[in-house]
Order: sequence, then C-alpha cells, then structure tokens
Amino acid sequence: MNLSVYRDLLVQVMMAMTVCIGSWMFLVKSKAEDLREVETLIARSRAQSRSIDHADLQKISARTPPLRRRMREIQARGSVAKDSSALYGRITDLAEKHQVKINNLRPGVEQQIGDKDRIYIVTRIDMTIVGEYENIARFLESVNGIGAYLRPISVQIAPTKGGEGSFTVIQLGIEVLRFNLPEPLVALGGTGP
Amino acid sequence: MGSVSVAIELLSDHMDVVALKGGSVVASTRLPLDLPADATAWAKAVRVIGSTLKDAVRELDVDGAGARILYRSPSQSVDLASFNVRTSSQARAAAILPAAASLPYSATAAIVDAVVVGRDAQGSERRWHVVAAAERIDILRAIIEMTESAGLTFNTAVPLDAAILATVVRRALNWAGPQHGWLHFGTYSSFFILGGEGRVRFERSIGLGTETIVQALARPIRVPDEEPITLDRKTARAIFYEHGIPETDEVLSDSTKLTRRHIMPQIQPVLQRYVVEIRQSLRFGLSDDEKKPIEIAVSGPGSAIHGLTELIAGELKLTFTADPGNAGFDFTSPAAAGSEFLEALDDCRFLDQLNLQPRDAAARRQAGRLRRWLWTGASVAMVVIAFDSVQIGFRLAAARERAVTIEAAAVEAAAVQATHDKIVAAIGAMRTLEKTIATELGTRIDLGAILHELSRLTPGSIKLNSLRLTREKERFTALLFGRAIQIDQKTGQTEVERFIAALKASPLFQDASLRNVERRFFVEGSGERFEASFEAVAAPDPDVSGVTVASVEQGDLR
Repeated sequence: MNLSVYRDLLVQVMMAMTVCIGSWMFLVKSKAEDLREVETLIARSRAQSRSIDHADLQKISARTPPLRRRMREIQARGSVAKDSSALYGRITDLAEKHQVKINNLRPGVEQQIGDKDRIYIVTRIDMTIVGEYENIARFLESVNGIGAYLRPISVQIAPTKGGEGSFTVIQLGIEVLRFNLPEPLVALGGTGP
Repeated sequence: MGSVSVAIELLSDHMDVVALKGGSVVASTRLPLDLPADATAWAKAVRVIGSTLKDAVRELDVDGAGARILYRSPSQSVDLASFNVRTSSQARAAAILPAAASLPYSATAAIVDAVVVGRDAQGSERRWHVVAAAERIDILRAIIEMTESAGLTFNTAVPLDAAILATVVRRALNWAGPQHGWLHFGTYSSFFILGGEGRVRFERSIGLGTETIVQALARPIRVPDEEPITLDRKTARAIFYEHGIPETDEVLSDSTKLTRRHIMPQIQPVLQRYVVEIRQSLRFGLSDDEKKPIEIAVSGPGSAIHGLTELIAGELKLTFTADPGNAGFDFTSPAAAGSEFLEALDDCRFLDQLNLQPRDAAARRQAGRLRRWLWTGASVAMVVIAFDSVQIGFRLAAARERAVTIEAAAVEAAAVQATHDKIVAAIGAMRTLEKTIATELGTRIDLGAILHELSRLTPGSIKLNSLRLTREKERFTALLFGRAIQIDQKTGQTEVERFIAALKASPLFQDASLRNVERRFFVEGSGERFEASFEAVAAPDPDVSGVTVASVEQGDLR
C-alpha cells in the first residue's frame, strides 16, 4: 500500500474514531455521568430516609406538650422575680393579710450566677418584720407560695424589746432566683432571658 | 443496484457484458470490437472503449456495480504447473517464479499470480495443480481504466484461458473413475488433460480453436475453373458454425456453391495439427501398459460444431463424447449458453483469487475495502451509540423522576429529623435546667412550719429570747437562746432537758443539742439561761420536686 493511500486511510480512521468517540462522549458519556450522579443522589436520599426511627420520633414528639408546660411555669416564676415592684407589692400584701408589719425592706442588686450552661439571676432581699409570733409564722408560710423561686438565707427572730405579749421581730434574708431558658428550649418555643 | 454484479468478456472482435444477480445472468449485451494484435496498440484501443462500455452499463442499469473482466490479450500468459510439495502456498510460490521467468518481456513490467486449483486425490506423488497467469501492467491498467471510466467498480481481471483451464483441471480432479481424457475445444485455444482416479496425469495447451478454423476458411478458397473465393471472417464463421464439417455434397453457401470438397483442403491442416497435438499428448501422457483406447470428454464451443469431434475421433480411433451443455451454442448471442464466457464464470472464487492487477490498483482497492469496512464499523458503532444514548436517556428520565420523589421524601425526613433533634436538645437542656433548679432550690426550710413547731414544743416555763437561722451551703443551722424557769422549787429542775428532747424528736429538726446552760435569777423566778443548737430539716420544694429531671426523661411532665 503506498504512502498516500496509507495516509488517506489513516486520516479516515482518525475521522471515524473522532466521530464515534465524539458521539459517544456527547450522546452517551454525559448522560451516563448524569445517571450515575442521580443514582448516587437516590442512594444517599434513601440512606437518609432509612435512618429515621419513626417510632422513636413519635415517642419524642409526645414529650413536647409537657415540656412546653414546664417551660411556661419556669418562665412565669421568672417573670414574677423579674418584676421587682410587683414582687414587693405581693410581699407587702401578704404582710398586711397576716397582720405583720414590714419595718424595713432592702432589695439587693441582681447578680448573674453560673457558667454558660447554668445561668440564673439572684436578687437578695433583706427585710425586718414585726408582728405576733403566730402571724409571722403564717406570713412566712404564705411567702413560700408567692410564685417565684425563693430561698431563705438567714433568719433572726427575737421578741420585741419592751414589747407586749408575743410580739416578735424577725430579720429575714431571702434570695429570689430567676432561671433563664437555655437556647434549645428557646428554639422550641420558649422566651429567652 | 444491490447485489447485482457485472462480468465482461473482452475478446478481440467483441465484448460481452452481462449483469449477474445471485450467479444468474439477468441481462446481457454485446459490443463489436476490432482490437489490434499488437499488445501496446491493444492497450491503447481498450482505453478508449470505456465510453462505449458506459452506454452498455447504462443500458443494463448496472452503474457502480463490481465488474469481473475475463479477457484475451496478445500478451497474456497462462500455464498449468504441478508440484509435489507439502503445502498449497509452496505450490503457488513455486508456480509464480517460473511463470515470471518464462515471460517474453520483462517481469518487472508484468503482474504474475497463481491459484491452486486442487491436489491429486491419490498416488505416490500427490501433486498440487496450480494455474499461473501473467499480464503486462499497461494492459491491466488499460482494462481498469476502461472499467472505471464506464462507471463500474473494477474487481478482477482474469485471462479467459486461465479460468477455462482451471475449470477443466477441476473437472479432471473430481473424476474418480479410470483413465480418462478431457478436451476443451475453445474459440482461440484448447486444453487437453489426461487423468483418472482423482489425479491429473498430463496437461497440454493447444493454441488452436474454432477461430483458427474460421481463419483458415477466410483464406482464398480454390474453386476449379473459377477465381478463388475469399470469404470474409464473419461469413466464414457463420458457415462454420452452421455446417461444421459438411456432408459430401452439402452446399455451404448458395451464392458461392461451396461444398465439402472446397473447404476441406482449407481446414485439413488445422485439423491435422489438432490431431497431432492430441496424439502426442496421449503418447507422452500414458505409459505403454496404459495405452489402451480411452474415452475423451469434449467441451467448449468446438464440441458444438457439427462433425468436428467425430472427425478428430475417427482420426485418433478414440471415443469422443461431446458435452451436452455446449450443444446449441449460438455464437451470435452475448453470453450464450455453452459459451466459454459462462463456463469461466462458473467458479467466481477462482476469478476473485487470481488477482491480476497493478500493485497500486490493488492497494487502492484494498484501501477502498478497508474504508468501506471502517465506515461500516463506524456506522454500526453509531447505531450502538444511538441505541445506548436512547436507553440511558430513558433510564435517566426514570431515575430523575425517582430522585425527585425520593428527594422530596428526604427533605421531609430531614425536617422531621431536625424537629427530632430540636426536641431531644430541648429535653437535654431542660434536664440541665432542672438539675440547676434542684441544686439551688431542691432543699429549703419552711420557716413558718419551724416557727409553728417551736411554738408547739416550747413549754410555758421556757421563754425563747432569740433564734438565728443561718444557711451554710445546703444546711440550715439554728442557734436558739432562751431561759427556763424552774418548775420545782425544791429540786430547782427546769424543762430544758425535756425541751431539747422534744426538739430531737421533732421531724423538723435534727442534731439538737444543749450547748450552754447557766443558772440565773430572772424576774419570773430562778432558772437557767440556755443556748441550744439544731439543724432545720430542709423540706423538698413542692414546686421543684413536682417536676424532676427524671420525670422529663420519662415524658411525664404535666
């Protein structure tokens, strides 16, 4: 076979290969790659949907309503503590109700306590109360139900000097606590600090 | 034209063109020619008949069809060679070399090829029989040029004699019977073969044919008392094919009144030569003990001539049997039944194998064939690619549809998962918060209850001066100051001990102890000043204890 015939044949072979390979790349390869991608996506999506335990999800979801109720309670107690004038008003009302006299009421400064995971705000209140022993006892009992997180810190009870009967003076130190809802609870529908 | 091919018989006085379909003649035509006897002039003349051939091609509607050319040229060389070698390729190579060497012109100006026809079926020396042919390159180029200029695709060019010789040899090799002879009485040349039992014993090419006799008849014929009569070749041929060897008083031509006695002197020398050739062949081909009368099968146009084979058989005193296939041969019709042309076309494989064509033409043809294969392959590949593309397209569309559905489900699942995670995180956060609340408020004292209890436990003889409760970490310690008036003047006993015991017994206090007692005189009377300590028992905060971390985990929040 002479050179020109060979060259011509070689050119034609290259042309045929170019046509075939080009067509394959254009018509088949791109579609095959798309198909592979789509099939990978399908496999991934299937794997994701398989990982959900619907029974577990249902069980967890059932806990949401009581969780929300508890959040509302904590928030409600926090809001009582936050509104200091309302809080003092309630204490004064209780004192009046139980016929004791608040001689002195000294609110302290709010203090933020705790690290990132347990943040709460503490406000100390010191007060001097005068009244009959029994009335004071009832007053102290009712303060517990004021609707805020309270804890007594120090108590000093003594009869009134020169007082008559069972009149008693009490130096009472209490702390009012306000707990902030952490972020996950806020995200679920609670209100932030 | 589909599977139609063309075969051309190119002789010096005419050219027959036939269209073949599936090996059968579907159309034919004849073009009269007058080609010179000189090879160079012959080639030149053949080149210019392409246009005439083109008209015939159009008439037969065979444009572009592949063409096999069976020709007879002044420079052709055809020979049968037999070799006792191992393989057919060795036999072929052995045949080509002497064929090239015996050419009357330079071998470099010729194309030589050979085809193995067959091998002796038996005998101590089983020889391969090879038909070798050679042709001048310019002759072959002229034939190719003629073919292509007529709008045909050149396939092969084979000397007619080579094809005929191969046919006769094959016939002899296929003969399993006893000693036999085969005579092909051709138009321009003849072949005589001796063989039997599947072997070819002897072959002889005889350069005589029916045209030799026609040529003799075309010479001036002496007629007594008259001027010699000269028949033209056409008339001589017509008379010969019509009357053959005439009867004694048979008038051959009304116009000339020629009879047997006028023409026999003309053809007698030719017939005599023919008889001599066969007799010598029998002498050389058969051994002394085999020299018994044998039967000879006669084929070719000569066998159709009336009285010709009988005359030769009578001279040789042998039995000649004419091939019935040649009977009724009409030399005036193109590709007539019984013609050498059709006989040569019997074995198309041989025609395709004997590749007499210049190297460049062969290369071009091979390249063309490769090109056709290449593009056929490419077309098949394209069909496969298209099929693949369509199939993948369908699969892709289905997968996309499925992906959309699954993706939507996955998005939904992801949202559900996010909600799940949110709730789990919230439960965890609530757990931490409840722990904090429990830590800070979980235990606290009930001051009211403590005061009530103290009031209940304190007897009338004991007066409490002060009570100090202090929170130290998680514990509330109380320091109690009071005075106890003696209840028995004689013993001076007070109720302090009993009071402390009562404190100890109370569920609201623990670790009650009397720390300091001092006897003193009070306004109420003598008694004891005392100092007591105890720890107030912290009660669980009802608010805190009502909701615990544990209850959150259990899902019992209410």
